[in-house]
Amino acid sequence: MVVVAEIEARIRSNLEPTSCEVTAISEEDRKYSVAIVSHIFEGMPLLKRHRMVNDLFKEELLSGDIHALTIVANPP
Amino acid sequence: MVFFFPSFFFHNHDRELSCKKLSKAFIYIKKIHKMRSVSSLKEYSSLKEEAGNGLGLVVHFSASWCEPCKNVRSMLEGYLSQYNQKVLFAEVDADLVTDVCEAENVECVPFIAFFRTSLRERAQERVADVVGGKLDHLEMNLVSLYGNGHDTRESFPDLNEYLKYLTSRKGVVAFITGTPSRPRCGFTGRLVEIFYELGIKFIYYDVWASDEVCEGLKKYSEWPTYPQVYVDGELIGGYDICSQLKESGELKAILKH
Repeated sequence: MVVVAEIEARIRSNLEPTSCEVTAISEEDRKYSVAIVSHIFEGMPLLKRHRMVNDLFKEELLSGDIHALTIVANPP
Repeated sequence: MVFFFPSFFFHNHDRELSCKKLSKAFIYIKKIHKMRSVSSLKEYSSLKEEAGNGLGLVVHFSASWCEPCKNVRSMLEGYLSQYNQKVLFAEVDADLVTDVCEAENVECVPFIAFFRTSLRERAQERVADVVGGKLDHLEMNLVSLYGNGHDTRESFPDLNEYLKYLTSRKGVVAFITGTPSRPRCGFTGRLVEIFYELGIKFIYYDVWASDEVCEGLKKYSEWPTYPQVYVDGELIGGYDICSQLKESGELKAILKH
């Protein structure tokens, strides 16, 4: 079981976001939404940004603990 | 095709046996290449049972008075030889065989239902529908569900080669859960809606059809979820990225449309 706080903590400790918002779209269906603003994303293609976020939760996504992660990832 | 057998090749008994085998072969070939006409629920059940041996099945519900049905029939007949021994094609006259229409919950013509042998049940599973005579949707589903007739998994040396082939096919290739007309996940449904809205032509692969592909492609692409959208073998992204690219007005260009 994954909780919103855990998702947020992992993002904060890895991506140095200036803002980070995590929402459970449906806890039951294990769908979460993350909106991240970080300097790390400057000049980075959209696919790479999403992959970077996905990689943080690779195990959970593959195991099904997280079914879907809706991602908005932008530089400031 | 004419066979000539000089009479001295056979004793009478051998000739009879050979002719019987030949006749059966002809019947078999004719049967496979022909559009099946279904005239009863019993016949329909037998057809589905026959297709349950690893084949696909396409059923065209039509009517004699229906003009678009002629175009559908003509198009499907054009695919008979390509999908020989892989897909069965059948036609049901909706006016005459009402119990089959009721069994399949079909209420209009033309209506084309697509079936696949289910991995899990060894029975025909209905996986896609085309309502009306949309020939482009008809073609999309045929190619997406049954390939080109000879590009099955077994014809590739390993999974990676197969995945490379699948992702590199011409145009936009979307790996989705379910099909456009029968999506199994909200993200798949929403992705398809974006494509339709922008007039983006695509083919799909239903990852539910193969656990090997479903799990293998995640590793191949280093992308852990579905849908996954490809152009020229390159991963574009999932629903989120396509949605954001649509909002920014870049999606059609990136999909080379």
